[in-house]
Amino acid sequence: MTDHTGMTQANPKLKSDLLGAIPNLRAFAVSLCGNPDRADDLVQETLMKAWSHLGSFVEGTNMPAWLFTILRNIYYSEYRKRRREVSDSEGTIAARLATAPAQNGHMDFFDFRDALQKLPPDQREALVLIGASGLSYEEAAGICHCAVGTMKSRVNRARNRLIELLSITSSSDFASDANWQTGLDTLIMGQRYSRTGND
Amino acid sequence: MEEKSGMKKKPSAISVRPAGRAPNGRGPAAPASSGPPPQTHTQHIQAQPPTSESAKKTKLNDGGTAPPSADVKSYIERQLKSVYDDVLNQPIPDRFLELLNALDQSAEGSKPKTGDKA
Repeated sequence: MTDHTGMTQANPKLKSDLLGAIPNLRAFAVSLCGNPDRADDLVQETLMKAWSHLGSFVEGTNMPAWLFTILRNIYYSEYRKRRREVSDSEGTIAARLATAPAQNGHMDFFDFRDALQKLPPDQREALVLIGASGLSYEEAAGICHCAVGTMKSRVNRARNRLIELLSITSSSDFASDANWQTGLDTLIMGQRYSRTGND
Repeated sequence: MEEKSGMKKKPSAISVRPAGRAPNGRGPAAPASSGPPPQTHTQHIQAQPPTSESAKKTKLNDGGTAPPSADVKSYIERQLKSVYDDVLNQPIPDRFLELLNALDQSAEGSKPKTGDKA
């Protein structure tokens, strides 16, 4: 037997949990590094590392959160500096990623994704962890090794920055002509998003 | 034209572009990359002063003095979800299935001989 209990025998349940967490890991990885290929390499490393440390996973706790922590650590220890070497133009990323969901306007989707990548990394990951991955503030704070309050303020700042980047203006200014986007207009009635370039 | 009173007529090809109102009507003074003026409106029809864009920016730059409204928040979360789910909903690439299987097998295979790994 090896030292790592988890390594010798794969608990089938753990294995299927790992498998089930892969989509989340990929989505998180893409949001971190902005590059699908790199993201998958990151996921691969994460899986390998997680596998060899399965013994340290506490069953019953949140497997995705545990994996996010590993992935994030790998990313910040290695990928961040590598990323600087390859400056990925937004166009490349946009072209490589999958197409926009049909119910959203494509430009909306791409603009938002571009804007997301322009956020400072700490704000972006906070927003993604809280707003998209479904983790609690406590879990997200644990992953990012920061206080819950810090996490909250990062989310707020991320949101404000996005509003700025996307030139979303507040609803009270012009609340009437809201039919420009089916499917969203009930939710975002009255608010506006003004494109300022990127044509 | 009565733009302030509910002009719905122009859901432009780019769906995100506001039809009736141009926050940046005078041109793209907004952050990010500024391209050619996307708006055709040259006059401000709102009660807002012509400097609305800079006012808006200032407000937002104040660092949270103007918390976004609930609908703006939900718009962002919606968009965020859609970007995230775009990846989330993709099928798991084969490489990961293969990887897990390989790890599984190597774990079993290496059981008899210890010290090999670790």
